[in-house]
Amino acid sequence: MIEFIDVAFTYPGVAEPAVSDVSLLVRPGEVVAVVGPNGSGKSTIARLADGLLTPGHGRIMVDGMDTRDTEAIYHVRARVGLVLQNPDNQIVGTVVEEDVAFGPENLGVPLPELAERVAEAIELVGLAGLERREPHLLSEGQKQRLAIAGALALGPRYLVLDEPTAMLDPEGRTAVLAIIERLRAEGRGIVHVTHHLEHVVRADRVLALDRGRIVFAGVPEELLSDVGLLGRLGLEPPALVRLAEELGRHGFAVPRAVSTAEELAGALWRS
Amino acid sequence: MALVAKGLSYTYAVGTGFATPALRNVDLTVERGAVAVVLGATGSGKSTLLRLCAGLLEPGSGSVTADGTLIAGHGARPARGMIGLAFQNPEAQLFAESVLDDVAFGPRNLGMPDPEAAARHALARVGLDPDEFCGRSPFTLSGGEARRVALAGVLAMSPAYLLLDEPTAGLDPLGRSAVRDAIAAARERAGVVIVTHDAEDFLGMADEIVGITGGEEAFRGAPAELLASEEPWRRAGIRLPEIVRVQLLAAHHGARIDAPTLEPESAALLLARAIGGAQ
Repeated sequence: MIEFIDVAFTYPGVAEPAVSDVSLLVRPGEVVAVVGPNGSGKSTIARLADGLLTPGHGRIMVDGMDTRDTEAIYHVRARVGLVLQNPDNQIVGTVVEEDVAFGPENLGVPLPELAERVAEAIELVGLAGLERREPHLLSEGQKQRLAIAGALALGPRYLVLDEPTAMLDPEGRTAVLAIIERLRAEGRGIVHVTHHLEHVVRADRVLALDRGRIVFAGVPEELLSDVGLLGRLGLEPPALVRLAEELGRHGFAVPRAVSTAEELAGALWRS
Repeated sequence: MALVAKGLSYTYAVGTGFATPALRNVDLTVERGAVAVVLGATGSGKSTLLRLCAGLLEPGSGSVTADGTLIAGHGARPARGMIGLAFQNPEAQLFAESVLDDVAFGPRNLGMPDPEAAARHALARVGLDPDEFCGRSPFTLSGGEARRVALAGVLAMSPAYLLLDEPTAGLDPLGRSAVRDAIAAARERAGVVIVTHDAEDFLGMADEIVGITGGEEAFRGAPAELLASEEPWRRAGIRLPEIVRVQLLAAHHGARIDAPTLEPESAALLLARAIGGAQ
């Protein structure tokens, strides 16, 4: 598992810490969503998790390895894959399969295994058939899936996604969310940084951050029901969740954690 | 006084083996004080439409006029100061050493009387405290802050027409509502074209909605009329907001809902009345 123990981090030349007093746990097979306003420290947590940043205070352990241990850092990065917001900044290859092969090839993975890993990763993100396609000819959603494949080819046990759908259209978003479900089912641990509360609905647990501190840790329903906290964090429940809440006020027995119109309409018709 | 695009077509890399038609025969009109929202998936041609309207690309055919002046098409003149374009990728737009210099660059270039005051005012309008942000380097901004600084740079020039490409992508709810407020204030004097795939954010302020698929117009109309049926959206492959779909599903089940709304409170009221009546 990935374990943050009382972590604080301050960027050089900045007075205020970007995150402080952060303790959290990510186990294989679960999705932990991290929400919070812009500048609340979400991206810092993502970068700490894979050892790109190391804590100024406290410790981060990845399957028992300390991210500050320079001997262990390659093993940490092999365990934890990181995918960032803008797919254009993460693609290096001239065609899809080369891009996916870039990471493992650099780590010296021998050829038969390399080919296998690349094919598996491409298959998992649904880009099979596009192996020879040039990345710039892909849609934004396909590019983000390519970035995820690149991270998966390293065989990580954990994947940290920093707002992976921010630049995508609804179709691209749905595809990325489906990949997250699939990786969870395979037993990988996922950290999903997002400010779309509709993505939180399907997570196992949610952390909410405000000015670098954890102000909520619990299950999605609990966060979505805490209208006061959401308001203080400047987080707005999706229109569909707000509609469910209003319908509750009108006496309809409908759940609050809904993510599609069909779910809500179905519940409405049964109530 | 309006921005009028007629019959715009554009092909990238024309004359090479890689020629890619991006837009075919699309019209768009926005008057000062009005908001047009252009919806479409990534790659539908909507960003190309915006660049053509700004006079940044030479159309293969068709023309764009701003208040009667030809700004794109055969014999066009540059539309200095009339059009403000905010790109989808804000990093592409920021270049100065400080946020203040960056936002004041446009007004200074146009010879406006007090560029720095205009810059500070524009930053406040997009919800960024000028005292906190003016001295920052644009390269230390978060993605959401960079997007808003880029928008401030466009607003500071007070253009007659604002062309905005995904102005809320990557913003948190506070940022989104600040940007919506800034656009609502700007439309008092300017015409606004918003290109987006986030229908929820802007349909409420739209005077006209245009859906684009595969470089061609798929549908067009006033919000009230387009929200009443899912059919044109489905055909165009553009997703109608879920909250509207709930109301259409209820109507399909026999509830009487004539005019679906985007607001949760009024949608709940409509549904409560209609279903109360149906059961």
